[in-house]
Amino acid sequence: MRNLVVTDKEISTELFKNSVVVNLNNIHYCTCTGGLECFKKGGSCYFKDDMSLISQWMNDCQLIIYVSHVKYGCFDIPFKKMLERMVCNLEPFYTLVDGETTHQSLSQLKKRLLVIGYGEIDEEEKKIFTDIVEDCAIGYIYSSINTYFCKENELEETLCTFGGVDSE
Amino acid sequence: MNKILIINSGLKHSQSYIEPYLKRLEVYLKEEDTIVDVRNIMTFDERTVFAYDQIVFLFLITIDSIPSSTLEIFSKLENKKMEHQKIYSVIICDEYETEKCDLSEKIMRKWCEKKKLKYHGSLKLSSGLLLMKSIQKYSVCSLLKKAAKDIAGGNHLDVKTSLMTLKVFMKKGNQYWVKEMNKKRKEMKKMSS
Repeated sequence: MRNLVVTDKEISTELFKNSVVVNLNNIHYCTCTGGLECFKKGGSCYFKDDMSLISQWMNDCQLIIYVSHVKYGCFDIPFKKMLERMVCNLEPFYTLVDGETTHQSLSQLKKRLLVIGYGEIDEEEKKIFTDIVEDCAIGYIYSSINTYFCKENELEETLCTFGGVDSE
Repeated sequence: MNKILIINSGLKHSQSYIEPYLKRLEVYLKEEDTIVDVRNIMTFDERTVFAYDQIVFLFLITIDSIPSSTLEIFSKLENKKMEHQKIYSVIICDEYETEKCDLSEKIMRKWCEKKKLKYHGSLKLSSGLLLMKSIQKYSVCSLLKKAAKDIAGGNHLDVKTSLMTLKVFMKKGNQYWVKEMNKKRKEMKKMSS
């Protein structure tokens, strides 16, 4: 497993030939209950569904691409639910990273993260979203984090720009 | 008499972590001579929101921002007419830095702006899993009491605090998880035998 594309909208798989493309609308996954049972059980999530496999892929891949609708400066519901399930990839213990407390990732593999947020997004929302992406990344080992925005009707065009990024 | 709705808008089982805060807030709001209604994501009914003067969202943050359950409540309220309600939030995070609650507050503010509602501020607490189990719970209670007074009076609320030193947080926080993991291990052993 080298690259993973997670999207909440139907996109052309032709653009990411070297990646596994996961459309959140086509998979079955339960909502995280937030009981932090996974922390208590050393990373094992209570639910065994499609997300168990995706969670494993997230740990193993080197490039992660998120394509998410942005609402109020935040990931939209399907994406947020997916991210909440990824908590099982974190250690329960608190670690200081650059003077900030965080839960460190169980995977120590260096990755690249590319996030494409689409929708009607104003400047303030862009700032909030970028901050969320950067904050989420603390504790993980990313060699680069890039966030881009576009309108929903420009998504296909924007993705064409990034097509082939997974073969670099 | 003001009618206040507290929405426990965190994820389903995170409610066990925020229950102590919720109970205290409810008691203090009732002391302020108000009618208080408490709902969670399962019992929340969007058709009744028009009846309240103040709405308080209370949640534990997930992945550095508001939980998906709160976003679902926003989505339920999308086409509901809300005009006069004052919105407050009590934002709790499990890590040490209170700043981790700031992004959630900004999202709440943005939602209010889009709904043309008045955002009247937040109470932001960090070290959320530990505070109510430590001696600091008395300080938290006095903060919640002050917040309840502000909410009941319809005043602006802006409080953020950690109430612990970083050193104490790191020690107590990691001890907490070791204890929880051991407890779970014993529980699982008992179940399998």
